[in-house]
Amino acid sequence: MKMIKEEVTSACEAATKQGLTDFGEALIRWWPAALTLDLKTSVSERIKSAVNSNIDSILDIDLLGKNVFEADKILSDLGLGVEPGDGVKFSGKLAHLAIKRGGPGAICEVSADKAIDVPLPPYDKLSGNLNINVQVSSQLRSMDRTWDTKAAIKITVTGEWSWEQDFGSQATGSA
Amino acid sequence: MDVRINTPDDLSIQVCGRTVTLTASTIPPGRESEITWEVPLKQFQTEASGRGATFTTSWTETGLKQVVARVGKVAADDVMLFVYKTASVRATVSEILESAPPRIPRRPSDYRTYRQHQYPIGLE
Repeated sequence: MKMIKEEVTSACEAATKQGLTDFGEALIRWWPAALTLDLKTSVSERIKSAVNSNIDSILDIDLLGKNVFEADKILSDLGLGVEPGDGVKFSGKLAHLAIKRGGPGAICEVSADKAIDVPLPPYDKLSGNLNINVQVSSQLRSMDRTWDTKAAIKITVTGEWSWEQDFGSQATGSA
Repeated sequence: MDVRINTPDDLSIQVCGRTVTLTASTIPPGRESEITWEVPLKQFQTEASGRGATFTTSWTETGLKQVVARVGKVAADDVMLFVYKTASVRATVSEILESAPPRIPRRPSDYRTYRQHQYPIGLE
């Protein structure tokens, strides 16, 4: 078995859910190219599902009535967890959205990490597992009342698989 | 004699266009009918004052808001609320990230406070 780790980081201009989703799909189109063509569609769908699920799990959380400074506790109370590898890790400064800051700089940051195990689909004698870590982050900046939004999705894929060939030996691969 | 605002929670998130009902009690209890409510400064609120154990208002613009409750000339309490103007009148993370900026932004130090608010370092 062989394991490698690759990382993709980029940013899109909109902090909207649709912007994040579109960007995730753009990344997905690029990523599975490293896999064999036959596996491409199935794995792509799993990654797409993982990205969308993670975005939804963060952006759809209702914060009405919650303490604006207790983001970690809010997510913990909702059962999403705050420990890396066990759910979503969240940090938020939503309060800054409602307060003018003295000068240029980040006034709001929301980010989340989630590790997702994605078993490779059955394919001949190939077996293995993809571990996908999806980080969603958004930043809003204010400079002289000109609001600028940035959002980013960072996806880390760790692939590990084995392939038992016909002559009995075992090949290994990675993505 | 003292007064305490019981709900909503201090530093809680609210949204524009949705009414917020504040409740307060006196210490010792029994003089709630004497409680007066005030929304100080210009906050784009729908109701600026009231009297009694409850007070209902709402806001139309994003911002850090304050409501003060008083009994007599000395006893007072206040809550600070983070109110966001969102398209759907909901407070999901997505909606808050897309909320309108404050028309008249205010810092916590713009208000006279009557309780210890637990702000993170650097926000004041």
